[in-house]
Amino acid sequence: MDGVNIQELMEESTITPSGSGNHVGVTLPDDHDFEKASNSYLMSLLAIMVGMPLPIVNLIATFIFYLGNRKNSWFVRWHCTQALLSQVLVLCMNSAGLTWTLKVIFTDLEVTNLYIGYILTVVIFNITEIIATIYAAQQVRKGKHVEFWFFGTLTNLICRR
Amino acid sequence: MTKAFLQFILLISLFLLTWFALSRINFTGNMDLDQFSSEQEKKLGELLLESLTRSKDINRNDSINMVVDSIFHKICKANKIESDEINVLVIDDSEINAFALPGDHLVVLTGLIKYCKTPEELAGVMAHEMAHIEKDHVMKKLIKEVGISMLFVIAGGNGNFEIIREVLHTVSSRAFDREQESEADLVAVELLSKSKIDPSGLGNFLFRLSQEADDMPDELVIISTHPGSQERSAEILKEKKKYPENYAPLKFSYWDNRTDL
Repeated sequence: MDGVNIQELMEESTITPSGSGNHVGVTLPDDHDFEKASNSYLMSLLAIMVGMPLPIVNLIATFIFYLGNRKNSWFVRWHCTQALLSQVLVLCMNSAGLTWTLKVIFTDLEVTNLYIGYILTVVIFNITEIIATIYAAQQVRKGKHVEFWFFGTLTNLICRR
Repeated sequence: MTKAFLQFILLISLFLLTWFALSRINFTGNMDLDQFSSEQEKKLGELLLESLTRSKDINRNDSINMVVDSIFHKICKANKIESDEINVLVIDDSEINAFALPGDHLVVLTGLIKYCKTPEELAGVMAHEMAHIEKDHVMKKLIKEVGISMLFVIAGGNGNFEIIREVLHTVSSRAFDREQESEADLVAVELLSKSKIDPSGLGNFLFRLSQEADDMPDELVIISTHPGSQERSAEILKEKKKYPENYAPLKFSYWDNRTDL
């Protein structure tokens, strides 16, 4: 994860504050934006907790939050998008784990080392996701721009200024 | 775009590697089938067979053995199965049953031969048991039901008579997993079709089992080892359609005069 102070980022980039010269106007994110962007991570964190038994809840909750904030500033949209994308991976992993577990419980399918290995891998990835989300929420609240590995790159491709 | 793609590949690889590494740990305490050598399996089979023949007689009737052997060799030849590798044994017993033992032994009880209305039905049951042998279901079932540690003890010659008899009971009268039964049915249809034997025999046999189970509870041991017979019968008839219907009826002069059973 890369933490960059948004003020420094704006100073180094060609983007200038609204109304200056011929550049496309971008309003600098204020404290209100930091809070909203940070909330997108808190929302996804809450969704992970609630959605553990039913993984689709994560995605739906984060998606609703994303829809509610898509008209906001770029900074808020960007972090909502990153929070949403990082949920997709967790959704896929958890859904497969849940299906497998239900099959183990309700059919003749045995508990194998492969199954336990998968569940542990999913747990590790979920914990990593939770830690990264908490870190991102904290940093974004302070006004730092945090990019997750892969999800940050993907968000940069999707979320244009 | 390329960066995102590479990172995605790396992320998936990381996930798969973690999964693979964790799966190598033996959480369940179960040992793999690979750890049980073919010599140990053969020894286990011999001990079980010895226990079986100690309590029941081997049928020496030439006519009966000729029918069973003919069907067996016909299936083996058509499916390129080494017939020398499977030992087929007919045992005098009124139970309607056939089962496979470790070490590639196929046991057919005379009660089954008597119960079958056509040689195709008998061929169907034999093909089904041969499928269990081909797919190594017997050892998998034993490891699951008895535990590999106990099997090591028995194969090492340290199991007492009671334990061996209990394992024999497990092999002969407890069902395989539903998936293994279905797999054996499908393989049996293939074996029979390639041998130009009508697989309907197996389907009819299973259907009849489901219909008559209440009337003959004691003899129909096979019903406990072959649950869901009616549904499986339908599946067999469906699977049969995948193969050309160039069947040659099985004819044995002995078949209609099975009064000595």
